[in-house]
Amino acid sequence: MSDWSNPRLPQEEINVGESRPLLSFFVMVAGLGALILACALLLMLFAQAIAAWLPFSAEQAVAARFFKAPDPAAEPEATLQKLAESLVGPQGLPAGMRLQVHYSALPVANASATVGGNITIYRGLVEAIDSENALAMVLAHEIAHIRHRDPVRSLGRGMALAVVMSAVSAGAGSAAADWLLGSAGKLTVLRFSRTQEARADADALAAVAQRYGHVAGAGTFFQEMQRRASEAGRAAESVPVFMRTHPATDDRLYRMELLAAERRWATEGPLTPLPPALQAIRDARGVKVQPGG
Amino acid sequence: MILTNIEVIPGKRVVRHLGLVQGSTVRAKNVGRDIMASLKNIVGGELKGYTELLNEAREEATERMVRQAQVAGANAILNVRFSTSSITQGAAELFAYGTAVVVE
Amino acid sequence: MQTFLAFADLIVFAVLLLVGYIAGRIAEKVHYASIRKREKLFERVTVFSSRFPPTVSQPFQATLVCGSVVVSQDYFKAVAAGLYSIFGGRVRSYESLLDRARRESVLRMKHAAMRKGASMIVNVKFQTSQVPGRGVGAVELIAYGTALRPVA
Repeated sequence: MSDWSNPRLPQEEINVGESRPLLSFFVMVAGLGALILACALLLMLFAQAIAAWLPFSAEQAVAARFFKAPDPAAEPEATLQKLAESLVGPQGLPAGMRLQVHYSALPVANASATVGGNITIYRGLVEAIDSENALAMVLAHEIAHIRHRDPVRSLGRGMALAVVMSAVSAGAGSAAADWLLGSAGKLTVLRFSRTQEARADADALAAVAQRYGHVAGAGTFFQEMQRRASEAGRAAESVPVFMRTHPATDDRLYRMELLAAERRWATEGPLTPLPPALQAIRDARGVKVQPGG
Repeated sequence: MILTNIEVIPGKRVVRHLGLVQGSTVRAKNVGRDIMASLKNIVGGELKGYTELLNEAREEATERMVRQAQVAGANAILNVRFSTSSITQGAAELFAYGTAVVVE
Repeated sequence: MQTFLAFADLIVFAVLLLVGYIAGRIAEKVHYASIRKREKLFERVTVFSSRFPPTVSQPFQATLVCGSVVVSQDYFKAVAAGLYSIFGGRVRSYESLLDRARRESVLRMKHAAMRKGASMIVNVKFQTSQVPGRGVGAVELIAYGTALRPVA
């Protein structure tokens, strides 16, 4: 019996490979994170690309849940609608596309374009400009976004992001979805990329040049925003909403000047006064400041 | 009753083979235990409740096998094997089997 | 506050992970220490996976002995195993768990044999099975064999 014994074996080293559990864990987490990020980016690019193939009528169906068609005779919507249609230009909009301009009495100095060809002009914007030319520039900018289907691309991208985020965390996913479709945003805070904004600016300036024969006053709104931002200083809270959703204003103004010089558009010309319906809004609020001047 | 998991019983001679005997039992844990176990799943370690439960169940399966062998008139079971398999979510079968023999 | 709520599930996850890691680490250290101690204690019980005892000439009394243990993963090990299953390779977090459990089952079998006065176990068999449960990750390991007690 005593001839046999079980030797003590270094079992730990043989069957257990765990040396640095935390290190390998974090390496794997990082790898997984990179994988998810890559998936998210791919999905966003893909969604952005296929969203533009969506028929415009589908966009309108989505938008119908958030916007109701305004009374065609109501002011200032009727005036804004007429101005927008005059800015479309001789080539017109792609087949099936329709514009619908809304007016919001919110004090934010901004304008937005969203799915279904819906453009919203806010009271704050009307108060910040003093000529039809400046308003036309903003409207034409939003029309260009719609013409290029930028809102639906952004929506597609945002939805792809929300899907990926909800796969990672239910809470983060619903937060992303809320942000995208939430009651406050109502699809109006869609972000566009730098190239989309630049393209919209170029198209808008061309539309203004064609409509008025010169580009004077087109930059008024941007100049006013810049002035307010510098007044607000570094207090992030008071920076106009516009500045948070659009690229650097200096840059845009500079590029607009360049483009005007390149195309030999007149930079001087008589400014067209605001239509009465919009001037009435400014008068009612007692706006005294003459922006840009 | 002598139980071994080898084919012989050292020092004894098999005089009669009585064939296969088996005992089995299916056990389910109660939800309370499951809740405790899922808490334990956070920190890890031995699930003492489960160990006891499965041991008890295995003993019962063995006992049933032994009873079968007794009925057959055997006094030993050779080549005993155990097997455990999950039947449904939350239930497991414990199975013991062996060869009943008469030894001298 | 709203951001906090949105990421509540991630925060809970991180806390569980941390608790699992720390508790699991401590438990593993304590368990290994105990295993090493008992392995020394039960050293004189020899274990063979061969079917017959090395000396057949000596008379023995035979009994079946069994040792079993159910082990559960901790949260950290479970998550790490999930990650390993994405990238492949050795699931290191489970290797130590199963190593501990298997050695524990052998120790319990040896203990049972010692109580019966045996000093040798032959034909040792192992069996590993998953414990079926609702959201419970646990495995049962059993070791059994024939304990031989030398008859004077």
